[in-house]
Amino acid sequence: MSDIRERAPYECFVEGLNRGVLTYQRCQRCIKAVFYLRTNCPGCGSVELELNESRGLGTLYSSSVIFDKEQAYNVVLVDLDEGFRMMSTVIDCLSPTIGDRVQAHVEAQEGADPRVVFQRIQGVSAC
Amino acid sequence: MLTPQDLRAKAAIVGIAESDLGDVGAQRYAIELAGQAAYRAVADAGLGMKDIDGLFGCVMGRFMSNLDLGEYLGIQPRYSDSGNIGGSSFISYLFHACAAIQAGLCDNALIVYGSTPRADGLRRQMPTGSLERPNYEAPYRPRHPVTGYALSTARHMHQYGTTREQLAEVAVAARAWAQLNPAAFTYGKGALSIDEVINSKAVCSPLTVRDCCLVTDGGGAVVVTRADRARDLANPPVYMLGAGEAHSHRSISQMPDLTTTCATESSQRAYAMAGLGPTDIDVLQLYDAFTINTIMFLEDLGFCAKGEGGAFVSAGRIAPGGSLAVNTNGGGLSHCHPGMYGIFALIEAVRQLRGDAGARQCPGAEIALAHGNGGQFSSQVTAILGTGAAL
Repeated sequence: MSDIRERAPYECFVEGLNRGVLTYQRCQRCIKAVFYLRTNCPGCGSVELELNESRGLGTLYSSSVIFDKEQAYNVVLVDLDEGFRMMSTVIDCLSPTIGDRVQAHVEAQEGADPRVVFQRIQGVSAC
Repeated sequence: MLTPQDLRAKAAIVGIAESDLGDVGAQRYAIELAGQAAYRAVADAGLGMKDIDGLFGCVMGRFMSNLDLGEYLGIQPRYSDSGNIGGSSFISYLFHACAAIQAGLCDNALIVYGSTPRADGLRRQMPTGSLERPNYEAPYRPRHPVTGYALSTARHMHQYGTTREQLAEVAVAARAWAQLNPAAFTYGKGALSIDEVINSKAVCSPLTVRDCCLVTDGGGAVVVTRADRARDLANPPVYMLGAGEAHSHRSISQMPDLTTTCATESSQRAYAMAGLGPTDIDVLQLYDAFTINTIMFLEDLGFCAKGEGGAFVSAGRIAPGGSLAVNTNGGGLSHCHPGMYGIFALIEAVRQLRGDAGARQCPGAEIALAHGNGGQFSSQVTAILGTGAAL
């Protein structure tokens, strides 16, 4: 793991994406999971933030389908098992259900940094 | 040393005004609506613009709003606050103005707003400001601010069984109130039905276009002065009895619990300062950018238990003729919403306490609550106002 204090947080995050992983921070003083990446822990102010790789497993906290002129797509909030929440999208289903278990994947994007998207883990709700 | 309780009833709102509202046309600009509202409010107070020595304002698209406002109005204030915490800013300005007045930092404060999203659209004026970076949400193309409120609505429905019908009740009540307000954008458009709300165009599930506030042009202004001076002015003073504020996040993904806002904290601070509670309030003006707002604020301000807001608003309880008068001007859903609604909640609260609300007047209203919201349930500011009889 590289030392976040010597590097720019967002650069670390993008570097993780380029390696196909979702990174978050774990405060070494108060044990809080921190996401998005920062220079100091928002819980206790510590700079002792360890850069960790998430397993990418989480549960859908909320979901909304946006009806755009061209297409409909969803925006979701996922609670990752490590204890942080992030905005993302579920790509295998337009209208996923709150409580669905999901798995993160890193998706390449044209002209932009890669992004983390989620797929439902089989065996959950119909879509 | 000043304590929060020292602010109770030490300053009063003595002037209010809305600018021209609705569709003002491509030839008119936000700073002009702000100016119009400012001069109207100062005249309403029986003061002159040169009496204003405290300035609090936000003009859409103006990065240094108070510099624009001071220049436009020809004043050089000795106290100036142009901080922006979203649509709640104007109720926050009231709070801060009362503190500044009590501290002797200014005597006559002017709170001002102007915004012209419809006119900007007509002249194809691009919204100012580029993407704020770094940004961990932008890759998912949320539509700000509606997506945040939609995610909150979905979670509230999941967690507490709140229904689409209950959400629609909020829009139906707002439309009914607006039919009693000739200045409302939807005045004369008639009633809205629950089915119409639910079956209108889907925007961001579970919200339809009728769950969302209007987009109108508009400005507003409020004049606040020392309580001992207020009694000699043109209108009966409306005293600031209590105020409180809080903010918990900026991005919706950082909101600790999407079903509870920090209006719980802002309202407790306001109630404590005023020495009052929810049962003392005669009329409420809640920042209703979306139907879920009214439901969650009724819960978080203590008018019903958490999760019961949907049932609470059912059967017309907050509509004209219901047992609790909420958003009597028609709110952001049916009166006007130029992007930051807070000042209009404040203005309507004062109108009700002056007894000047015409066909929508709540008889005998002595204590009003105005609640502002900003961002995506991010900032919450509560103000409790009262007439001289409430002191």
